[in-house]
Amino acid sequence: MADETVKQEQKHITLIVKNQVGEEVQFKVKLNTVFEKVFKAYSDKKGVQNTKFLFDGHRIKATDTPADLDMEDGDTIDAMLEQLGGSQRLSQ
Amino acid sequence: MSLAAARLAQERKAWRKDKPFGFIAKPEQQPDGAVNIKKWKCYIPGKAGTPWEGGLYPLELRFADSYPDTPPECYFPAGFFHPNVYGTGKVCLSIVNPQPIGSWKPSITLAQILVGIQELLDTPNIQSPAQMPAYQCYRTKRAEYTQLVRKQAAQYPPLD
Repeated sequence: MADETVKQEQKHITLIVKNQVGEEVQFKVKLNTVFEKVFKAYSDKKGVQNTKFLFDGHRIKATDTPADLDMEDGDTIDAMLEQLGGSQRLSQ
Repeated sequence: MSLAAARLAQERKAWRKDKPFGFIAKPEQQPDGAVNIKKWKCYIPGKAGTPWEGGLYPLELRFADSYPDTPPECYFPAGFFHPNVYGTGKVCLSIVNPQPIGSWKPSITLAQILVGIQELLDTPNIQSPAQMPAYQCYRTKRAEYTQLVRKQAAQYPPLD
């Protein structure tokens, strides 16, 4: 039983991160890798900050793992730029 | 597994591997955790550069046992402001209307339906209105129409 769990966690899956303009970056991750590492690798590669990552409409947390989110090989993630509509309120 | 359920499981699989950016589509999860494959909760992002931009519009797809011979019924929330949406929220669009009125074909995928409805948002068909308020406003008071569309977009902010 214990051996099986270890095996599961060491299995690699490929995740595809897609941005607004359709550019894709693929990541090979273990099921128990925390997303913090993926986020960092993505911003290093793309040179962007302030990205939020959505899977099935849920914002992925840095502490989540693919196993937490029931991810499978080949699943796609949306990388969206954080943006704020309107202008910031000016102080009076 | 019925034909409808098998096709829907396949659609879900295809969607997970390759989906249009910013869209969400998944079968409804019931309170007990069971999945209802015949009813999907979807979200359509408003297109950039249109007054619909910034909104993430909830859409429910209801599949009959006869799917894919018959198209799913597509519903925005009741009262949704758009010339081709009925008061109930039901979307009137050729590709999701059965033949001979419409042009539904069993080969049309879920992604095609959702992208088609996104396209419809900013390109209403004024020859075939489904509700009076949005139709009349579009015809006679375009500036006000655009204003109301923007207001509606603000009512459906992106999920977080």
